[in-house]
Amino acid sequence: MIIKEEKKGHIHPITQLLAESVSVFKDLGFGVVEGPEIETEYYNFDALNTPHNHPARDMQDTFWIKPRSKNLLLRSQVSAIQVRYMEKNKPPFKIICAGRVFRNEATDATHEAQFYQLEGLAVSRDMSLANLKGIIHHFFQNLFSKKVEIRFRPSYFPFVEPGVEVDVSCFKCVGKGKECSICKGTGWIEVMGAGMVHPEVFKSAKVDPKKWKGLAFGMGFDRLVMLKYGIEDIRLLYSGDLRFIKQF
Amino acid sequence: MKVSLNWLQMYFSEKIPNAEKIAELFTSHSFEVESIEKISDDFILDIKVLPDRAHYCLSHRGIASELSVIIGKDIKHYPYFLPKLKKTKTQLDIEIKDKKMCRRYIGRVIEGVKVAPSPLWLKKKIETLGGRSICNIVDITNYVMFDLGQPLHAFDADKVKGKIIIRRATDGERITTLDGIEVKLGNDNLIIADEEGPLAIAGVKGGKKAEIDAKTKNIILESANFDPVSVRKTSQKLNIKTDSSKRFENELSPFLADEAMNEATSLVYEIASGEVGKKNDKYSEKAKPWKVKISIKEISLILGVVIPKKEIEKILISLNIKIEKKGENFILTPPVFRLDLKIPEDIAEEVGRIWGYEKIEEKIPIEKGFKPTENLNFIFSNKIKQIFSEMNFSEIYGYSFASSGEVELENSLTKEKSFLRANLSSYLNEKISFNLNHILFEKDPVKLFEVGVVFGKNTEDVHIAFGCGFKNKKFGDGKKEVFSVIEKIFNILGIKETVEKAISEGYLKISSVDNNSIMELKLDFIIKNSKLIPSLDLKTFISKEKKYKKISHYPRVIRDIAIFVPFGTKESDVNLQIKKLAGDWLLEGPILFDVYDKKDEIGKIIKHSFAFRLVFQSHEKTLSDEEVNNVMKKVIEELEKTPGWEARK
Repeated sequence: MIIKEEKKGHIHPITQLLAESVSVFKDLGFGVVEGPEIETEYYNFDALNTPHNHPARDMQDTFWIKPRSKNLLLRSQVSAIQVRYMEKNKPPFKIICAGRVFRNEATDATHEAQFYQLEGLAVSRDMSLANLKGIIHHFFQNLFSKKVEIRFRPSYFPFVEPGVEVDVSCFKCVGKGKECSICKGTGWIEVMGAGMVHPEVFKSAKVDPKKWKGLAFGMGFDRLVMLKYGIEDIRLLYSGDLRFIKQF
Repeated sequence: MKVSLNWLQMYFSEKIPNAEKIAELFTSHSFEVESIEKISDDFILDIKVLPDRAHYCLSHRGIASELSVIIGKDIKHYPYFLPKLKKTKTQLDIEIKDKKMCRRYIGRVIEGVKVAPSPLWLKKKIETLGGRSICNIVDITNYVMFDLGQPLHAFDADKVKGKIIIRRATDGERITTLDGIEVKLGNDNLIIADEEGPLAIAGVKGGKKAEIDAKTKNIILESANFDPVSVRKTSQKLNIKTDSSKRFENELSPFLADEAMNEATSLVYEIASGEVGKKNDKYSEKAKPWKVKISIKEISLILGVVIPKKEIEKILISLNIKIEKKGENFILTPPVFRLDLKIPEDIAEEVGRIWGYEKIEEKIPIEKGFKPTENLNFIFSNKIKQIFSEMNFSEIYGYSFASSGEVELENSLTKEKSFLRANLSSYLNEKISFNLNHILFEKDPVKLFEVGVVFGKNTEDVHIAFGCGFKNKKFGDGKKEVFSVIEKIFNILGIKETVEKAISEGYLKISSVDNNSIMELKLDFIIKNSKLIPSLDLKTFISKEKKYKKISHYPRVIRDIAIFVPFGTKESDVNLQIKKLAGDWLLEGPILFDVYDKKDEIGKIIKHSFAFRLVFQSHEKTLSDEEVNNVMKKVIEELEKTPGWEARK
């Protein structure tokens, strides 16, 4: 009798969730694009309506590349790809981009200096907040096997207006469970930042904001993976430890 | 920003909702409330005010105005009681040398004040917000800042020599701040100075020289407005962050300065008495109102829902926005301190959030004008990952940071991570060796791969690296395994080149360290040389509902068990039995590693022997041999109860 060798090698949970997410967006007509990990300050900030010396820059800590005079950084958000893409591609379009981003923060169980984001950008003659809701709800509904709700909360990002935070209903406790470790009893989990593309961003890309409307959304992927599986420490995702990887 | 519920209540004649309800309302319509804390008879809400609303909401009145719009109740306005003005002995002369950095400066002398500890109500207000009560004069300036959002400062007038000059510091000029720290200033820093030197770092922090102390008799109240960029630059460069610098760097309307001066004056007179002098108001860059044009149609388009005109008007009016109607358009004049309402989109946001985002119905957009192109990097890398996993290689994600490389970081957190990785092989090799410490059987290989970005002098490329290692040379060196997987990949993707050629031409790099063999190549090479675009079913990637268990760092205890069973007994049944009996400490297994069929004289199989490996581990402690032996004893006892099942020695 031949002993079967261990079944299959394991694919990283982030790869898995990314593949699944891309498949949902592809069904909605989105195309996949990519951007560089080393970005210019211009595309990462200035083109996204976040000028130098604006307090919004404090919302993210940046890694700068030597020499500082070159104004190159490790991208702090995948949104950096928005103006890059729009300079070379005229609307209408619907794109998603997944990639690694970097924040100069101290690391602990919920913070790493590198993590993944999935970003979406859709521009047409009449994109609206209602469309944003539709797309996002459809996405989360397909990601979780049970029924989920989403809600918008007013928020601020320099490159969108209106700007919102998106919460998804807690898939663990399904409601206001006071003991729930995931949502701390609120019944909601923060998953995404989103909004309507700011006219300044369109102007950076030389797209006429009077003719075109865009929606954009971005989510931290590691966090989503951790929430989905109950992973307690983000650093495990980069540990290269098979005892971790082979559980997926 | 910390907000006191009782303080908010002061702005309303009727009782406002409780803290939790208010937090809910703010979360839905304005901003996130991070926490609610009960402090004696008050509740403190920690509100996350973001840069867009920091112009007017870093104050209790601002927060109260938000609440008033949401609950539909007007704000109470307190008239300031201003005493009759007296002619003061001190003449206050003000000169603004840099009008761009200082848009407005209001100074006022109040003579004959009684500096003393603050009355209880004022102390309480400051302390509830986590601040420290200093004395009545200083507390008043802080109170007004937390109330109206306008930072103020008070100087001891007798310590000020000559006129007040608002100017840039000269390079090397020094000031000792109220904290007693000497700070070196530069030409970029705006200071409040007298004819002798610096008195305060404008908008950031006051200096010790003209400090208010118990002996102070005459004061100068300052209510001013400074350019946000210069305050922020100064605050960052000197590394001094205060409640004052925070408000200025988020930009305040100069409009607020006058009202704040009135409130502060009124309070000083009430609490510390004194003779109130005339205001000296140097107002160079006047806050000018602006107009925003928007149509109902535009609002509907942005939000994706039609809101009745009357509703929209009601919301705008409650926000104190003046409305002029011009046909289908509204010409709006926002309040001059609402620096966040500049473009039509800002107005749409106000309408949407107050009306309620939950009322917007979702619509999936139907856009037919766009044909997405396939992203080759994405397709190829994921296809390759699938092939790797079929060949038993598992995926890791490494760190982009490394201790050496071609690209260096300006501000990395540690020395070991001050470069960007130039290859994937180093980390992969480390991880192969690391995982070889946790294999189950001595002869087991560890097979890993990674697909990721590496950085060269002026380039970044996606690389694929994969490797195989063994614990001992006698089991192998991984070469066979890495060759066979790359050949398979070349095969499936229709790569024109052979593996050998790719190696000899330098496209495919192979390295051997200890008993590990590692290969690395650019993803680009595969894409360029592939004769076809592979088909990829993304839906097959996600594995079925997996349950994740935290890894314990206590040592494992490994036990083998071999058992004879009658002919025809299925291995899976024995496996299941053992699993059930092994208990909670069973981490892995039973894993079948040997099978032996015992035959009789004529070659007929009479019984099977199955050998399994079990791995035990606890999350709480190191398991002793004795403890595990006891478990194994019980397992064997139970198994042998089944007729024909016998453990092998």
